[in-house]
Amino acid sequence: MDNNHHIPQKLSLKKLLNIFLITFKIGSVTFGGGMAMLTIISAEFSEKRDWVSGDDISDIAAVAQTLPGIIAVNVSILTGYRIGGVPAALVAGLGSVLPSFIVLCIIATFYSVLSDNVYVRGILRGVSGAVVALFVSTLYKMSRKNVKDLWGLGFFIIAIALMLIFPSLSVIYIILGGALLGFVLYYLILRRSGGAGND
Amino acid sequence: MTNYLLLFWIFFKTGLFTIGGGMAMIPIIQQELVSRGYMTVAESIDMVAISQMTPGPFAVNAATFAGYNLAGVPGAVVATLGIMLPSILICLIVARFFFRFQESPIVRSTLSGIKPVVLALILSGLISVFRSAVLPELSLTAIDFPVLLIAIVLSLLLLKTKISPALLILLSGAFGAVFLRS
Repeated sequence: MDNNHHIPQKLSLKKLLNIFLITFKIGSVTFGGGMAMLTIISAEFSEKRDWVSGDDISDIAAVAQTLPGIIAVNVSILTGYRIGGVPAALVAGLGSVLPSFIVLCIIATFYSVLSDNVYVRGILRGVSGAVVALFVSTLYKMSRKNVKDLWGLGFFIIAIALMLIFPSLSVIYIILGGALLGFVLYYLILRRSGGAGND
Repeated sequence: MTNYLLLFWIFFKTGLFTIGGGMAMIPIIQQELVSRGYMTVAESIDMVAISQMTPGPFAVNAATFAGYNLAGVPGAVVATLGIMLPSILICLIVARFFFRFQESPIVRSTLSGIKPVVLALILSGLISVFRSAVLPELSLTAIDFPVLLIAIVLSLLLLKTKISPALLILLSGAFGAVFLRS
């Protein structure tokens, strides 16, 4: 466990600049979310440069998906930290989101001017069908990973019922409720009884 | 809207409660922004599409886009910093103290309770975008059949093939520009 916690290597300004340039490049070419980004991060920082180990990369993958927040940002912050502590973490985080920021500001400028244009409306109408499909595929792919037993199914049904019946109830409370009930059920109740013999 | 503090707080909360990927964030952003009248559901669909088509983290794209539409470049800066800050703070704490925390039974059991809720979030997001895209007038006599068809075909393609979502969105946009002008 402690070998995971190695002291970050000595960090030169040149290395910081390199981290920024590489993460900026990664941010400009990555499509498809945090795990896709991790693949490129691993290629650049582990395979090509050996600044982080393969074990680090698999730790980062597990932690980045578990922690709250944006997976891609988690990945770059954790990788940066492993390479060179807090300064490298901040530089990596900044580098990986800056391309997005610039591109989206430009697109948003055009969007606000052009969103009433008939062609643009047509494009957006076609694309709205694709967005429905994105939710369908995310739902399908997540369903097995996120609901693993009948208790989970019960949590899911209660949560969706609350969201539909009380649309103004903040979903944040529902998430917190799930966390609390999950702790009570899986940690305090099922784990105890599981320890007694029937896992 | 120039209440930057509120804007920052909305996106900070959204970033903090986004667990398991950017799509789960969309219903939270919708709830926060649509209920306050800062964005329509139709605009939020545009936001999802544009954020998927552009490179970089989906959630950051969505925050930048929403922030820019609300208050220009300063709004984009505030929204993007807001959505990133929880990630930055939490990761730095975790990286410093307990990298192996996800193996703890407490963390695992808590996550077991959160994950089904995240799935419910995705379903509620699906219901809301389906209503707005396919049933814009909320009536069964006014189904937008071309959009429904795109949704069905693309769902199958996304589930059965490895074609990239960005490419499929691009193609459906091209289809819309040619056939769905109104």
